[in-house]
Amino acid sequence: MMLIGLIAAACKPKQAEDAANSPPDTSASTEEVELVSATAPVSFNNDIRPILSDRCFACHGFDKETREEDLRLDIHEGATEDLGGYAAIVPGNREKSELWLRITDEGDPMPPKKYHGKAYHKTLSAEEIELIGRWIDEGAPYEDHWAYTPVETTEPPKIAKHPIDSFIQAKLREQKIKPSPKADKRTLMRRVTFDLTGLPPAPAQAAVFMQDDSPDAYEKYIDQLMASEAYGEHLAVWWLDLVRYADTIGIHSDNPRNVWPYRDWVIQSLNDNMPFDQFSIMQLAGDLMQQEPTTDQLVASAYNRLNLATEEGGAQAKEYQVIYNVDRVTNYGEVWLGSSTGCAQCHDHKFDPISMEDFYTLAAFFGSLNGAAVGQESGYPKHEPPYIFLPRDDAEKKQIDDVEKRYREFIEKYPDAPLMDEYYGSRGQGRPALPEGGMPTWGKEFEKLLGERAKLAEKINTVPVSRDLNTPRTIRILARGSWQDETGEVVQPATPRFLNGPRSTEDKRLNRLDLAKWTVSRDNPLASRAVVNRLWARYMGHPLSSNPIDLGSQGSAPTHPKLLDWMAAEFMDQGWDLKHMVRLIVTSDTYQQSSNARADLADIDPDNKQLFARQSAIRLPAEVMRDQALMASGLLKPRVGGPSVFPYQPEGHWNALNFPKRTWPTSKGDDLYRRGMYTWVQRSFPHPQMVNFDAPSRERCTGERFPSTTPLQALSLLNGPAYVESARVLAQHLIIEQQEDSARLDALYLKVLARAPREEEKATLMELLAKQNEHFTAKPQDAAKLAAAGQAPPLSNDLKPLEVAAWTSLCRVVLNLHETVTRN
Amino acid sequence: MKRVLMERVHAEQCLLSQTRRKFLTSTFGSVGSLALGSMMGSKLMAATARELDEGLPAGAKPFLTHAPKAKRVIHLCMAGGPSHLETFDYKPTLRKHHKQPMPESLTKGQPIAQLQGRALTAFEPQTTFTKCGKAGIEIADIFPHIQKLADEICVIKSMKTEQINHDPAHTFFNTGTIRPNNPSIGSWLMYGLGSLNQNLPGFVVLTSVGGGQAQPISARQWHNGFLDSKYQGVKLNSVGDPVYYVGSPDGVSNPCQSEVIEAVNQLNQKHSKVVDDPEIASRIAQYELAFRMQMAVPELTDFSDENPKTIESYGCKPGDGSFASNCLLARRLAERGVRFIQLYHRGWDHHGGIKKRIPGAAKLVDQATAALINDLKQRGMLDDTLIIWGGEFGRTPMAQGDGRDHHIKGYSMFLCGGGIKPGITYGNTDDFGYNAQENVVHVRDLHATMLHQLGINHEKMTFKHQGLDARLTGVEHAKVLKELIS
Repeated sequence: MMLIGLIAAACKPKQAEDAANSPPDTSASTEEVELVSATAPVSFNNDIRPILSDRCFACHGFDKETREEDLRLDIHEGATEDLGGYAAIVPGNREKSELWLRITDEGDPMPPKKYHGKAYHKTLSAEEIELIGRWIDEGAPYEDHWAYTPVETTEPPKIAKHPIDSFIQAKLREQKIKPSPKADKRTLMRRVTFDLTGLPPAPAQAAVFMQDDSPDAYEKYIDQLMASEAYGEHLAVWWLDLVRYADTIGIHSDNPRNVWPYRDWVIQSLNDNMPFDQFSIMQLAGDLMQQEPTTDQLVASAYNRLNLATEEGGAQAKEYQVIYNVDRVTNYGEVWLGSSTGCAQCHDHKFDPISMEDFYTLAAFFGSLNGAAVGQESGYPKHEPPYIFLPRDDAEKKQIDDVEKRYREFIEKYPDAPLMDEYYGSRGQGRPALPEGGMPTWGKEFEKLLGERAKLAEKINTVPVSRDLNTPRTIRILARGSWQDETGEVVQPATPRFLNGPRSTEDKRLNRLDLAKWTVSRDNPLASRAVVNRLWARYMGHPLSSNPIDLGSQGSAPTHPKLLDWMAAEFMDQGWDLKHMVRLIVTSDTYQQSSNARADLADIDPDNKQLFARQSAIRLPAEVMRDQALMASGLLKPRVGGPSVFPYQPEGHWNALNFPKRTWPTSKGDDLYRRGMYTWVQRSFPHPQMVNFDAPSRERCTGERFPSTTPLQALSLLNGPAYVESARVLAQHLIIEQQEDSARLDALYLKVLARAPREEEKATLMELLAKQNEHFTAKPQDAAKLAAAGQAPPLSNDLKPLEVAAWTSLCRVVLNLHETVTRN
Repeated sequence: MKRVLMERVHAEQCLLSQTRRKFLTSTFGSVGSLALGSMMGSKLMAATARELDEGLPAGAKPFLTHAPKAKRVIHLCMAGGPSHLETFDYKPTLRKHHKQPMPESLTKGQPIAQLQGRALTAFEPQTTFTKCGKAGIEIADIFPHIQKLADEICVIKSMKTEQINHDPAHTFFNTGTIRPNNPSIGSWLMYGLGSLNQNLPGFVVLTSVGGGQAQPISARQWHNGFLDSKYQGVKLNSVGDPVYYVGSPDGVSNPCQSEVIEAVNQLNQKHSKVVDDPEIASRIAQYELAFRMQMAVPELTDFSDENPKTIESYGCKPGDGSFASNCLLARRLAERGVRFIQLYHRGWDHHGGIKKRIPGAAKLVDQATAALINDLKQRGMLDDTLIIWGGEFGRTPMAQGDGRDHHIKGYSMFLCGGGIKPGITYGNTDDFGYNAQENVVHVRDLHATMLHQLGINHEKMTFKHQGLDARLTGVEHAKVLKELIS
């Protein structure tokens, strides 16, 4: 009976009712569920808040500007307030509750048909009305929103050896569902290799693992993968999606921004397993960590310079300062608070307790960042100040030191002259104008120094960094978000009130470092939850709480709240150790399950978002798709880091770019074959192969990519030059390495899929080989063209074009298979 | 093993005018129809072919509240911001006040772009106008061909937008907001109505070469935003492959390619017996569709079947990427069931030298725009094709040297076909052409009206995103312009 009690607590009444409404079933489980539905208390967070939030809060919620009848239903005090002899909710008595009477009113039920001309009509279903009634009868208990409550360290249920499995299986037991069997060893190898490194298994490494029968073979293999540099590269993509890393500014001219050293730092830090709290603080406030920040701290602080920016003629500096600030706060909120704060730019958030004041006090942390609002066209912002030089050798260092030395002397000589960075940061648009009223005595010298510095930046690598202005900008609450409004209250930096974090006082004005430290402290319940929720999605296909960048009340409650909290606590307890968390997930039985779809889950969890009773089959991400082809053909050049590269891109893709006009400078040699993550990200025109496979444009925070299946993907894989070239080189390898067709097919499958082909597969391909031979024999000129696909030199000059062409066709087939493009 | 795919493609091209459902049952065997049921989207495995034809599942379209007048939209976007004062909004008052300060009552506290901090003086019209058509609509003489169609078009002289810089203004026009990650109009239409032709993208963009300084246009302008990426717009290119990667690799003939695809699908079929993954059927469908697209796109861009007289009427060299050639291509796309076609001409940002330059821009679009309207009319397609002509904003009544700056408080556009009243003007600006003051049409109102003509209630076509019922017209008031509807 204890077990039934447990079911009662966890089972959603909605499902219970559905079960109750279904035809009589004699199985034990249904009876139990029915038994449960009569007694299970309604959960505010799981059942009631989503209804109220969607249907009521817009007018009876947190936003005081739009609140109707001064009634708020988002908090207990509001809902039960005496409204003059009656109250919206009288706990324990639905019939006495005005809310109940209004939602069941036959003539004009709430929500009203046309509420205030603002939105279209939403209704409550009979089931939802009954749920609300029962909740009131049960005393209308309110709960704090789960994500805003402190993360408590809890003990996993004692069910399985691995804590994650215990949480997952506890829920499965309740529903009388068995986990899926473990995936076969090869599938698992392919899965975990893709997940941890973004690459397919290397044949030699694969062979060792497949033959290793020791009990810890899998753990050893994982250690190997996590020790490889590819691990940091692949996880970096996850991070770069979140922080919207790109190589260009994004708006109008969309000119370059030289920020790849930041990407290198991210890769390196993830490979070094830098604790996530330090990783965060360095990005948000590396420049403030010490008097003389290290180069790494400054490079990390380029995070604050990743916002979209404009250089468009006629753009107003004041407007764009606001736009950049909003962009930064929004990104910070989505990345570290797992919360969408953007709504609060113009009005109090309707569903979450984030107010306009919270938004602008957060904005005040970022509002002092130095930097021009509007840059200048024609490549200028590649070195948009403030930036630092990153000399490669002593000679470069000496040149920089010379200029810096003369600059210091200049400052001493003319204490009235502006600091160079301040000077840039305070200017309006275009090239900085010198003060009015004629050239000051220091003017000429200053201009000369600026010119020298800009000239150096043309030769020597730079990266934009965070620097605060000596005098902070005034940040006001902007009525309706309008940058022209100057009536709003001036605010000081502070964390959002509802999270009870630090606020500026008269004595101490907080800065970004204070924000960063609080963000990754135990006092902030959101950062750890947001990170582990995203990690789960990365390795299981779907997050535990539905929206990885919004854990607020419009996202759904986690499917496994205790697991999410246990992981969040574990993450912090272990010193924000990312590798530990990744290892935890991928060593669980839950992770290692087969991804096969199951008939018994088809109705209750078709997309594998609720129970995780199996793995998810996931189409490979854009970058990985191409990396796999390059690796199978041996073309991949695994050099880590460095400037972005320009792999084949269709002609004319940049035709609609201007100021200045540009053409894609296709890379030569090794740079054509670097990993996809190094491909130049042009925000206004991302590489078509990236777009076709759902990579984001990096204009905003992306917490989850949604893999689609479209014909454009088939065209990319069939005809894209990188894939055709890979197929051609792969074919040459097969021909050189193996004599017999059958052995070549075996090698082909091994290289691409890490398995041997089945007989029926061989039959199909042998048939195709014969037909392709026929075509190319008839048209040797076609064979010659296909056998010469791509820039990579032939592996040997003795190969017959006919043979290479025919085998290229076979390789194209295998590179296009569903199995090839899917991580199972 | 015959070349099944090739035959299918041939069959399909013969059947372009038939409904897709009929086509499905008549052409495809069991594999094809099974797989096509899941076409264009992994989440729609269980959906029927009919549902896929129409975007959302049939039951999920409460926003289709009335019979549509239009089936498709062609948006002729004059990027850069054409001056209303030199095209459709003749203001003799400006002549009187030429070179004199603008009334401060109009300009004070208003957003301004490049004229920030400069003296604001009135600038007289730089073109001549003629009263045209039965209603005597004033149209500038730089548009001799459009003038002849005065009885066909509906000129809106009271447009208003919210963004004063090009990039955000385009984003605002195309998505209804400047917040990133919102779907563009075409994506909304694909979501709401779906495509009429499964062999071509249902939302096509043509950016056009030639003329003026060429505004940059970001791919954001045809992005699907938070909608499924199957709804994204596809840019057709005038150089290289019209659709990226649509051409087979060098040396791979059509039969060769069809065998490769056939083998992929056969192996995927075999694989589906080994693993249980419903996505395989979807993958197979995509490869069939991809191959049919490989056949359909060259046919689309092969102008050899066009009557020379038709080509002459557009005044273009077909396929050269010019706006005129793209107008002809737009008609071919419209004929083939493409739902939303967006053509850019990027030469209208006349900060200086407007007198000299605006006739040049006009010359590049006038004849072809008129030809497109006439061509559609002759083919009986104008009634159900809504044409929208205009830019992201207008230009200041004030001089910027011998040009005009960006202006958002009042400007002109015109509509044609698609159930819009022909031969009328709607709304007015003040005597200076500064503020739209009579029957003001906000961009949102234009969106609402466009959706209305397509049978969509703009308040009801929503998509749940971040807890909000997002829609093209946003949360602020938007009205259907009933007076414009015939």
